[in-house]
Amino acid sequence: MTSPPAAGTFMLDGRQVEFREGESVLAAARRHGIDVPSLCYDDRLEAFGGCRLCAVAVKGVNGFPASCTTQAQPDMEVETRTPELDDLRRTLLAMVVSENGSERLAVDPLRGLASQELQEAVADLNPDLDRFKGATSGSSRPDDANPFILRDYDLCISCYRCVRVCAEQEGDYAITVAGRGFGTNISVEFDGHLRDSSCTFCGQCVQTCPTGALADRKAMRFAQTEEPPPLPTRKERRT
Amino acid sequence: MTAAFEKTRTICGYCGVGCTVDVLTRDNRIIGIQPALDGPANEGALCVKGQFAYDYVHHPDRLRHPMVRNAEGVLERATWKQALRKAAAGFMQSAERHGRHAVYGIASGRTPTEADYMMQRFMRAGFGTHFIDNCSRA
Amino acid sequence: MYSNSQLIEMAGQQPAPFLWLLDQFHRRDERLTPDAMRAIASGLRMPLADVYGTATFYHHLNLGNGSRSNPRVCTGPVCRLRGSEQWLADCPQAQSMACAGRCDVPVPILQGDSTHRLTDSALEAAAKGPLPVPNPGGLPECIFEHIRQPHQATYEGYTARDGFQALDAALDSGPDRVLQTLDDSGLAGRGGAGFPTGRKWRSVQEAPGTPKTIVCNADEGEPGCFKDRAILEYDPYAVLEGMILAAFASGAELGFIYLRYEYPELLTQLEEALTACRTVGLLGPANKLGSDFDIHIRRGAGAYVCGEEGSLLNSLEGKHPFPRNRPPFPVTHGYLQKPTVVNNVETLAAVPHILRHGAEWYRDLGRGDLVGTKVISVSGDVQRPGNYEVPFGFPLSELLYDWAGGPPSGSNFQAASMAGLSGGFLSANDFDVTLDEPSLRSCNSMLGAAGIIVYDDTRDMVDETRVAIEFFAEESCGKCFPCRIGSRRLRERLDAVGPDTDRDEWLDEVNDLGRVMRNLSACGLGVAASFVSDSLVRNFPDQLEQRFEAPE
Ligand SMILES: Cc1cc2nc3c(=O)[nH]c(=O)nc-3n(C[C@H](O)[C@H](O)[C@H](O)COP(=O)(O)O)c2cc1C
Ligand code: SF4
Ligand code: SF4
Ligand code: SF4
Ligand code: FES
Repeated sequence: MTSPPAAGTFMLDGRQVEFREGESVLAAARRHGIDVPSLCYDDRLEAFGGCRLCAVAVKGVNGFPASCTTQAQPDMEVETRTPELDDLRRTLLAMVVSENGSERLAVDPLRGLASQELQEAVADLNPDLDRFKGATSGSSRPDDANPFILRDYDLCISCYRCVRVCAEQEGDYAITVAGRGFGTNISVEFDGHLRDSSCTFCGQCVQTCPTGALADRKAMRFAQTEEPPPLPTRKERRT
Repeated sequence: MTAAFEKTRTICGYCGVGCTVDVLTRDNRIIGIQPALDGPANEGALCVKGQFAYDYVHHPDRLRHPMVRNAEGVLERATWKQALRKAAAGFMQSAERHGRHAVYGIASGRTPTEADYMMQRFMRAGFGTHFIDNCSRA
Repeated sequence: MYSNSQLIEMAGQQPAPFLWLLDQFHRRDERLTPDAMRAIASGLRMPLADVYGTATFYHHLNLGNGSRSNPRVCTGPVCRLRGSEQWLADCPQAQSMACAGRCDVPVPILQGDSTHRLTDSALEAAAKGPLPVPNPGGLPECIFEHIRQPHQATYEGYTARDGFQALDAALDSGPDRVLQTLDDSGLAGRGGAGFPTGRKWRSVQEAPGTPKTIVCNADEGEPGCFKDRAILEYDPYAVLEGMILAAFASGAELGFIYLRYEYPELLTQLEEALTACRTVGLLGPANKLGSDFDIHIRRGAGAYVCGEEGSLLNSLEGKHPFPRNRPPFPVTHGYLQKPTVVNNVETLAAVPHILRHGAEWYRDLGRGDLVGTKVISVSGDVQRPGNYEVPFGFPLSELLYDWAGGPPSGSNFQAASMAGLSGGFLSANDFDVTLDEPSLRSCNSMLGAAGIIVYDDTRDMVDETRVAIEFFAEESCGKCFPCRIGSRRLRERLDAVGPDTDRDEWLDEVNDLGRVMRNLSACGLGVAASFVSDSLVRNFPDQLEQRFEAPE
């Protein structure tokens, strides 16, 4: 992998830093050791701009654009951490935690490579975990009888990393966004099971999921750390 | 709820792509595999085999030593020397009886290029046949 | 009746085939069956999961056992004032629909391709809405200049006056004159965002890449807005002339009208108008512009957010209709990533008038330093609901009292929504504002697409806020966290405000939800929802406080 050449410099938190051609503010910031929080970002995928945790202040721009979808430009002046931004992010993160309830925030790292991201963001920003109580989103699919992937959407925060990795990395387009708004669910066609879809069980959706909502069912079974819903019997599987 | 586990960086053994993986172990047993985001060949991707097909390592049916069939056709434990002799004899017999093209070699998709080279020399120079292929050619 | 493969073949010959196919299969089978979705997926080479996921996004598509012909009753904010929820409850096979854009004649019922109106006493046909009444103030008009003339909606009627004269003149003087006049006129977008139209067209003209596209945004999903419907019903050729002028000025070859599902009669009417234009060589291969510019109608399928231009373009492209990240903007990366003009119906309808009368004339229509006019949809608790064209800077009170006739007898005005619902609720104490963005911004509101729903003093503004927030929560697309979660949480808080509520926590949470949504949402929908909840807290604190108190 060769990196694109440096394309210019901009001001980042009071520091003059260089950025590469086509690089987003978020990518440049991280490369320079500034940790901008995010949940929907996976640097292998096209930036999506859904979680908005990566919002920054850009001089001369109204509001707080998402740094993942904002291209770095020469002479831009960006602040990644102001008191107002921290406060907005903390409140937003409390909203995110409320989505599935704070009780299930801690998940087994065996669930997947990125499964700790939400917890880590919480540890970083320290939101009030008891605010914004209300209905929970997403419904798990314990009925999906495959031996590899646990679809525990009770933990899902609709970042669509799974859908995007399946399309952009695996080229498989097995899963999709169904419904809308708070009622959104990750689904295969006709709300069915993975094994009836075009899923190849490559597991990439599992590994990019920031909450453990998609989990490595096999590892959990092998390690017996947490009892995943039992696999249906052969007979049940046929029906 | 969460278990301690170790991560061992290695290369997936399944095919010639060479995806980098972290093998997750506890008490010296494999409990899972995770792709390496910094794997130069795979950048965090794996296929179903690399990701999930590791049961064989600790499987009771896994072969742990060579076996050959006895006169009754039942598999019995053997030494490598015995096993290779037996295999060589079988190949030679076929070639003698039916000609050099009665033998066909297929190299595994997991073999590196050097081993593939060895294999084709073995078939061409050894048996005198060009019936040699590699399963990952498809 | 066409077979699957015939439909797929027909779709293959046109642009934006996905939406067209959804509509065709939905019509043919009365619902969208798995078989149809499979046919679309294989015919258009789309992943089946995506066809399914995208179809589930649209409220009007029946994927289950429901039928396209089941009646849909409007439960928008104005129709609810007229008891539509009760009617819905009385009619078991009916389903509810968000504001159907007929707030001037509530309550609309959509059944298949026809609309009826339900009143206390009758069910009457209501294919067209009422014609805008003559300007009560006798002020000069732009959009409505000819709208009341007989047969204005026919090609003959339109050309009998000065129809297509602006186009003829433009063909003589060239694209740059058109752009210059628009720049000079100060015409800005009437769909809500107010971007200067001349600049938009020029950007598309200058942007590299072909084919360029003109999209007429006729999605009109904002509750309380029904102006685009009236313009298209009574003066459709003005909009088409505007689109053709846009194509001429920017060099576009492709045109779409993105028409909301709830206007089925307009679909037929506009198809006829397009045919008339093709017959006389205004559209289609080797037309008068010297291009192949043609216009295709694509029907939405029930999603407010599809009026947002990025979402609209994704919808046209057959993608999941999430708004797009900006920049880049549609003027450089629009339909299929090519330069695209997206304009509101009213914006396009203004163009021929401006070109005929000149920039100066248009500028002078506004009050003070403000330029031009705005069509305003007035509905709710008011004597004469309807569409009124006012100069920018016109006093709100004059519109509501003098033009629209004031409150129903025996009551007083209490509040008015702005920008449909998106600007939140103004209290009657603020009715001395003028109708323009600077004035309304000073009241923490906005004019936007200019729907005004009026509420008299019998209304409970906490309930009305709940109705409004429910709309935004239903319509939130689910792309961004602030709005997807925030709109739901606001709705829950408004559902459950009562004596058992912890007042301080409630206010704290509602304020914070609004703040996050306003500052961090990815599109205007989430921002709008925060305007609504904020306006309740700011403008109607007494009614809110009453809710927290135990009933006597
Ligand atoms: C949630 C949302 C809904 C919108 N709905 C509409 C609509 O129904 N019609 C419309 O013309 N513009 C709508 N807009 C504004 C469009 O994004 C866009 O600004 C407009 O169509 C541009 O045309 P104009 O410049 O002529 O106003 C909406 C914007 C948002 C954020
Ligand atoms: S495991 Fe299946 S759903 Fe997940 S990324 Fe791979 S192909 Fe897609
Ligand atoms: S399942 Fe995981 S990766 Fe997929 S949308 Fe939900 S939280 Fe994101
Ligand atoms: S603000 Fe709401 S409608 Fe707009 S992108 Fe975000 S979730 Fe979608
Ligand atoms: S990382 Fe930028 S919006 Fe999620």
